[in-house]
Amino acid sequence: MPTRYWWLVVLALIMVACGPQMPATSQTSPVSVQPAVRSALAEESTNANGEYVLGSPNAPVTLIDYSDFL
Amino acid sequence: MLETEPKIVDAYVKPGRVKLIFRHILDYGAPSLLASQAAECAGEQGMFWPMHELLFQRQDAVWTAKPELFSQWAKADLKIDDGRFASCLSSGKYKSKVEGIYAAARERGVRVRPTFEINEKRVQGALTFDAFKQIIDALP
Repeated sequence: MPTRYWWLVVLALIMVACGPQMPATSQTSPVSVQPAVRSALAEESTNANGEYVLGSPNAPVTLIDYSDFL
Repeated sequence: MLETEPKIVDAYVKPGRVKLIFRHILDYGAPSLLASQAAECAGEQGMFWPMHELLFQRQDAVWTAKPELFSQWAKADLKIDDGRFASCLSSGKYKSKVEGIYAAARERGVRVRPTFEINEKRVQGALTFDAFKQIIDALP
């Protein structure tokens, strides 16, 4: 290779070195980036009274939480 | 419940042993009512529980929060349609629902926050995960 093309070799090496580290396109779901909302991973629904239920409707144990957000 | 609930979800809800139901208590009037409506409006877009979690995590801000703050959370944290969320919240469409849930809780004699009913067994006050575990594991 003629010496005047040395920069092509350098450029190729830089591209190889940086390639795998390039940031991936956004593949995260809105919820997955929020550790606070991990409960969303479980099943969410409402019961006959319109109350929000987390978990399987057929679960043998029902835990009712009476709480104020304050 | 902020620290305990994720453990209950992981240990019992996800495996299908427990289903968790939330009932609104509005002991602090207007701020409680607004926060509960925010949770319901997030629920319209499938994000009741995530908003429920945010509200508990940011409890200090909830005391003085305006609807705009909840809309910001809806957009920035939950990635839901904040315009739809804001319209829902300003409409007050869930006001009577959450007030009805609160009234029913009062009728059932709920006077302490938080109160839990685990298959009809009532317990009051903030419990540790181990306390919940003892009760749940003893059930058939």
